[in-house]
Amino acid sequence: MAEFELNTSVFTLKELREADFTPYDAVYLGDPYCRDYRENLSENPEDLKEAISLLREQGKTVYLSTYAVPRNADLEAVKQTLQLAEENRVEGVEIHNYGVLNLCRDKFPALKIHLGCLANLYTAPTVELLKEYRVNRVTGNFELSLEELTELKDQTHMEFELLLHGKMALGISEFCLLKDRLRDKSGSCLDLCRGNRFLDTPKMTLKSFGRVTLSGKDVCLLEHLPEILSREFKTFRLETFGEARDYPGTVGAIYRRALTEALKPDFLPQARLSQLQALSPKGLCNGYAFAVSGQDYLNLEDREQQKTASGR
Amino acid sequence: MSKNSPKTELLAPGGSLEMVKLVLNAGADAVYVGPKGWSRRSSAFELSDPEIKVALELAHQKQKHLRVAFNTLPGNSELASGLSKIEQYLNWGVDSFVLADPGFIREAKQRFPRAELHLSVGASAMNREEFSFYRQIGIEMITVPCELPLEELTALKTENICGIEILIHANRDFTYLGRCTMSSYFKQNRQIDETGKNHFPGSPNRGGLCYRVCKSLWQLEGENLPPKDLGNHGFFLFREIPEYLQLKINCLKIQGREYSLDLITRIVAFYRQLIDETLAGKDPVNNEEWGKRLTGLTLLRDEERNRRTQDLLNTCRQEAALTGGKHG
Repeated sequence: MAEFELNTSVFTLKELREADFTPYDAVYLGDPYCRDYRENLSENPEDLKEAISLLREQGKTVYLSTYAVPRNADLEAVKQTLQLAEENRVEGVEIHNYGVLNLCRDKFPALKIHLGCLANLYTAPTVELLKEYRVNRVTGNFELSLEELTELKDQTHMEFELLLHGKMALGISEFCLLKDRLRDKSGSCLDLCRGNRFLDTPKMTLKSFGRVTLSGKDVCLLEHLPEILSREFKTFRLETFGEARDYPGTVGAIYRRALTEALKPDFLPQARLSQLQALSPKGLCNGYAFAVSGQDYLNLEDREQQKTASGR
Repeated sequence: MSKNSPKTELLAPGGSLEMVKLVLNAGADAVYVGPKGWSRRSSAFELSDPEIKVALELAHQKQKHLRVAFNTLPGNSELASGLSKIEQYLNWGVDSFVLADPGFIREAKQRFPRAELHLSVGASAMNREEFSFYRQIGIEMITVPCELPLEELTALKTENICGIEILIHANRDFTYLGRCTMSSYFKQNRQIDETGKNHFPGSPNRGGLCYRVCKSLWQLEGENLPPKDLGNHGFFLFREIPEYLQLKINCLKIQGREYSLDLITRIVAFYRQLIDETLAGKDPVNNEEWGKRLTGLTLLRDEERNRRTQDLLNTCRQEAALTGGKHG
């Protein structure tokens, strides 16, 4: 059994076929942010079956994502997604909504449940509550710092997944910004949101992926892997959806190698960091890992200074 | 207020003690306040404990209710202090509490079974299964997202899982409320007060102060139009009020703890009279004079809010420029 799990997410069969997912142990299938396009693996039984088959041939663990913001009218479709997960015996479902969690606990007792990043998990009592709902893996809200996440993990003994690299979801809307603002454009939903639709304002860039708004910069914790591993996190996400075809394979390979080397005294990530910078047109950030603004980037030296200043 | 109460409550904001007095006089049935650092507003519009005690006395003297909002998503280490505060307020006689964190809700209900707990709009509970989840952990009333249309509200009300509170004056945000960290992505700090509470300035989820970056002007790649905001607009529900009253929605809530005293008093008085006239069988929503009053209020409110938004964005950009940020 691997010492850690490196996973990513894939929204459509086409994307799964086109990119290289060799470096990953596990893949979350399906787009949790939008129900508008029929290629979404969460709601397309035939494509899903094929995707699962492709991944299992490669020895991957397969999870299925469910819609993050279902209204009453969406619940039946979400139930069908959970049904698909059960029928295809996926190794877990990712849930962002407490209503879906309630539904899954009551109606799909065989499914393992992972709590997704949009569920606003901030506290240990919430983790304890989630255990009673059969949740066995969680992603804390991205606003939590590495220290806060460590405290929650150690206090609750829950498996915490950590976003190591890629664009993080910062918000989800009822409507699709791209359809709203680019409605004169021809083409399908997929054409609109698979392009690099950056949103710029002074001192900040975001990326619109339709209903979900992502960080413009890529979260990057490569340099900080030794600290992260020393805190005994074992489950890691690289967010690669909506990126160029070579992105999942390249980023995955960099982190796969780095994870095996990070605890060695001669761990030198700088060359690989440059590679990652080249893949991120709007730059890198650490997210909220070090309790500063989400778009800031602290390198190793900055981090050491921060620790010294706070007396840790 | 019980979910089966026949009366629709008008709930107004209390961003200061003076505001509490004025909105109660203007006709609010209940007023909500936030303890410093614990509600989804900057601390300038929250109250100290002694002020909350006075606010409670003011409300009870008029046989009205006081609701205290603990609806930020607190730090793990802050929960014990939050529970102590709830216990203290409960002992003073506070009528109900607004919370958002599921674990905090469950703990509060287990420790204080008599506490009436409401779910914040910041939790964005939007479907019947979610209502059931929150009911199971102790919630009696849910403030629903602004996005829900009448038919969804009717379905949720008919199922009677929890009481329903609707924002009749607020902002419809770019994202579902509570599902946004764009402000803290731009700029956030840690600021711990003398009680040990972190105010997390920049994070509306954690501390209340939001820099409203969605109101900045954004250029979208591929769009050949001038930059514009992402969509965050104030609304005054008007024509919907008779339908909500007929549906026996439990509570109609007005946001605006940060407004001027004059503006908030006018808004509360407007809705008090609108509700009373509707219940008296008059037809104010089809009366031209009422339409003009609403237009006047909207203009005043937009002016105030736009000024504050510009102040927040300027402060935030200046801070970002001063600290430089660290960029990868």
